[in-house]
Amino acid sequence: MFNDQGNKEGILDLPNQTAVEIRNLDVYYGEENAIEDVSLDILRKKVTALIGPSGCGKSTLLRSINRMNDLIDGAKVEGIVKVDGNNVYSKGLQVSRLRQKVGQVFQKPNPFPKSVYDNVAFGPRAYKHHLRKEKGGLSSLTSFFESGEKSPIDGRHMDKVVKDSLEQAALLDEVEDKLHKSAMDLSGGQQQRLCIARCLATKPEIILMDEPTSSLDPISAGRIEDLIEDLSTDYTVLIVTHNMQQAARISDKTALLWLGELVEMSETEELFENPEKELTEKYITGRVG
Amino acid sequence: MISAREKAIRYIMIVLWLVLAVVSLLISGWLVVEPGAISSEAISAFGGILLAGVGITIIVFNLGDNYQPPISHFLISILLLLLGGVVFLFFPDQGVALPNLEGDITAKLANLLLFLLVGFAGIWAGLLFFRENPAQNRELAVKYFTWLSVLIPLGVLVFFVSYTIIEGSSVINWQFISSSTNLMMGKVGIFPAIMGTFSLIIGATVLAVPLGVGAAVFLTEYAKRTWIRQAVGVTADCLWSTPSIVFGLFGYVFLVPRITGHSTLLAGQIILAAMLLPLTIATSTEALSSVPDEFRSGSLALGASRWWTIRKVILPSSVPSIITGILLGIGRIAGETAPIMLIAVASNTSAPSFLTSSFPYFQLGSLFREVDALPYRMYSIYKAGVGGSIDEAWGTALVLIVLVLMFYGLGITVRSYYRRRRGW
Repeated sequence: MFNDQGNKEGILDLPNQTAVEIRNLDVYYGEENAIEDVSLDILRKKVTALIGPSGCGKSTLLRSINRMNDLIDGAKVEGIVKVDGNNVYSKGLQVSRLRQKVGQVFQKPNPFPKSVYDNVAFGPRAYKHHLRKEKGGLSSLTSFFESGEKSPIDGRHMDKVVKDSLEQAALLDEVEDKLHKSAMDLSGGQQQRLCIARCLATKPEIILMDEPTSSLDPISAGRIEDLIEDLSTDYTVLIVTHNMQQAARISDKTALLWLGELVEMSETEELFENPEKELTEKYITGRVG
Repeated sequence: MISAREKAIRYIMIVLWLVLAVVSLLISGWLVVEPGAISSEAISAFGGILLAGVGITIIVFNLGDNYQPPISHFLISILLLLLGGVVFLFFPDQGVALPNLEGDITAKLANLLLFLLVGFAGIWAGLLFFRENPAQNRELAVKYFTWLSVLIPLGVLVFFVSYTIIEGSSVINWQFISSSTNLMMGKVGIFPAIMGTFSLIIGATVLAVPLGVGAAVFLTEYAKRTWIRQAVGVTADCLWSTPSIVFGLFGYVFLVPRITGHSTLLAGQIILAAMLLPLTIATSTEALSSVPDEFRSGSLALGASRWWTIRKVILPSSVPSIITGILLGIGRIAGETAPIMLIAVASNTSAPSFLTSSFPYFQLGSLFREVDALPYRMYSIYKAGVGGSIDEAWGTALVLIVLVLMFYGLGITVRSYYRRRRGW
């Protein structure tokens, strides 16, 4: 369950180490089987990298965790995806709550055409609005699932939420004097960090990153990588990447997908130095793919 | 290479030109010696022949397959085209009229033909010019063509507006704008018409815009890539191109009997809203679907609901384009005369008023009464033929233009505000 205690130090090493549990997942786009019978566990407060050639289903797998596949016409998901023990495809689940807890950063920085401040405050405001529309109004800050947990987002301190999120995303120093200027004026790297800050503002527990550095220059990409490492102390990060060096640098665990199937998943070092499967070795040494 | 035949034609042309030059020298000499010896009609006919000659010569000289005409041919044709246009617009009775053709071909028609001939010569020369020439010349030609396509509509617009201002400003005074017409006292005022048109536009916009934008939201955000979207698109296009008098007739048959049985402001507002609706739907759909999908997924991935996404991300980003569409529509309905003649207007009505001096300070009674409207007023002033009626029609036209421009100004202000905020 997503309760406050779960976030605190000390309880980390208790049995519930798995943040996301995927069992026998199949995703279809119309007739096409994009993910075939994938089962894997994503560990809490670790960085997990998904690698594989283009079109192998990495992004699809990522999107099936926060149900962004729902937006794609003709996408069909079978199997079980559990976030903190709750099946995200169960009927009673509120998708918006799920997406608050499982944030996503996209390949191309996509800040809204609003000010930097409004971008970061977007998630919390949407959340507040959402609560107000529910039965009982703001007083019943009910949980993401049915557990009765209180919202970690307090709209009354929006300034603080915004500043903290920007700080966490290592962006505050650069934008402190232009909080109310358009986010579209920032550089690509800054925009991507803003998107990360925007995601952090909703107090997620899991952050999904879909090739977050592929549209950035090497220096900006390096800063994002540093940021991901910092984030992994507090958040569970799942990152899709084309760049195997990047996976090797920043992830604790790595999974290789091939044509929609999971080939191998293990500790990053082990996977790169001593892969179990022949295909993995061929892929990481660049002989296939 | 040029063939022998073409060469011959060219020599003949050169000889003809020489003759023309000699004749014009003789004529100008004669006119100096004896002013008034030649009638002005003959002179203008000669000018017309000269003008036509240039056009024909340019065509003939450019007949050769591999011949590269110099850019001067193109530029001269363009100049003549403009000159022909000026003559056609400003001196309808001057130019190429051959006196003995009067009755068969009027001077105006002849002028039009000349205008077209020279225009054809210009386009011909232009086409040849960049058929053969290297890229650099083509660039130049494209530049001149695009210039021309800016200059011509701009010129027409400036001409219309300035002519209306010149003609209309003489009758515009406070009394004309602020009072109503009283033929007994011999005064003409258009205050009721101003307020009537204003109420019609506001009412139609208030009715049509929420519906149109709502339909567009449904089509782009909820009914993506389905047949409904196409069906609505086609229907909207058809409605937009339906003649306005048909709308008026529908209003007269279906709306008027169900409201009061006589013409009312409300009926006019509803019918004009129905006319405005298709354009609002079409442009809003276009505006909403041009919002990048990354904004949608970005917002939804933050846990925002679909409605919140629409309200906070998609609509604000598309406001500028939506406003542009509404402005185009307002421009059209403001000048509509046909439909409101059947369902909303009457002469000599008082201005609609929604404010009262006592509680509750507003009243809706005017919605159910007839109104006057500027385009209708223009028509009836002209028809009535009282006093200097055509001047007053121009004055009314000027007020109508100013009213529409005021709406445009308002719209453009709002648009640029949102555009500055948008910045993508």
